[in-house]
Amino acid sequence: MAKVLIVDDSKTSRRILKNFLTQFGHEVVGEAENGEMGVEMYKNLKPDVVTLDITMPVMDGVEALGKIKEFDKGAKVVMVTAAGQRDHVMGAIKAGALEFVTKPFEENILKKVFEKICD
Amino acid sequence: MLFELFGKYLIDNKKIDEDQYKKLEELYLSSRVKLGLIAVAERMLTQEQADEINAKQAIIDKKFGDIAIELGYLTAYHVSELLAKQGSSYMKMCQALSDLGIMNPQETEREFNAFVFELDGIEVINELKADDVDAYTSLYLPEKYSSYEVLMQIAVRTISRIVSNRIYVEKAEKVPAVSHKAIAFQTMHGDKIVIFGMYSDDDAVLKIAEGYAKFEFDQVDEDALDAVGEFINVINGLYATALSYNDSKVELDVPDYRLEERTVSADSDLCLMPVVIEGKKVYLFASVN
Repeated sequence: MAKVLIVDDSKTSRRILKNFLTQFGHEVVGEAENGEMGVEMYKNLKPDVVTLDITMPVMDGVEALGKIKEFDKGAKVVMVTAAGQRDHVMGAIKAGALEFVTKPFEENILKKVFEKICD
Repeated sequence: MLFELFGKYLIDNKKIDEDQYKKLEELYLSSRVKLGLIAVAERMLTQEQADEINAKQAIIDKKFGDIAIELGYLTAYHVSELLAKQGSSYMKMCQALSDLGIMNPQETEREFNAFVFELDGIEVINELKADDVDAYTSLYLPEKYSSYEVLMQIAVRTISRIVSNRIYVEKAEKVPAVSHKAIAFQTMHGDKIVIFGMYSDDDAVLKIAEGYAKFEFDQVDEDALDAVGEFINVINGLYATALSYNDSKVELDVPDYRLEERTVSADSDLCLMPVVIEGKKVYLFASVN
């Protein structure tokens, strides 16, 4: 079981993700609606895994990833994105994100990603 | 989409009435098409040959296809072709119309051809028979080969895949702007400037919100529009991927939605396309410059 922080500007996406993660036995310890808030919550909560949406207001997911990695090199980050964001995803993977998942969330894919990352 | 649009055509042309449409719908949704009917519709058997096989099948425990092969009417290859067509929407429509005694397969074919002719879709009649959502979407757009055609196809296809497959489109039009009090849209910029969004006059957008989120919303509020915005983001992401195959790049802005009267316009007219989802009408709008 992992302690997870969800960072996504969409309340709907946070709710869907939280439902799935809880169902998989993980604990969602916090939710943030933009990258800036996400970085602060990461520092305070020190979760096992953080999910970062790429397209967000104030601070996007890729920038937030950089700041989280500055604070904690070992941070386990899963990028969340719609299709069509290939360049951003590749950039995020190079910057240290371990995995990415695309919206709409597919239960089986999400489960496998979290099994792999928490292994 | 074939059932709804062809069914509406039959009503408009007084070939069936509303009651028959409802019965047709029930049968269409539950029916499994008989091989004999497909074979007659495809002109592989005459009606007399199909009746002969049916009569034999009533007294011996054999499959329709096997009897047809034994009688030399069909080859094994033909039978496998017919089996592949058994799930076809067009054949299910033929079956339902035939079962209700409204028209036989030949009459259905005649009416379907007239329906397709009216749509100016003769070139894609096979796609229309196969219930190809993209083909129907294109024919209901206000112009051929438009800049927004692919985006609208992706949008309708995604609604059909994620929200509900009981949908149909209505004739789209070009408008200078759209105004509404509960509108959700997203802009993309880069090699192209794209706007895509949706709204409804009643609570129809809840179909989109609930279909995407898989949980219920009480009313069209900020939360429901957030879900609609996420769904739009999915559609636009798929469109951005399609553009990338042609070396065209766009960046997606954050989806935009607010519960207040607002007007959305672009450098060119917007294409406004109504999509009816399980009886509820949602308006999609798009502009690609």
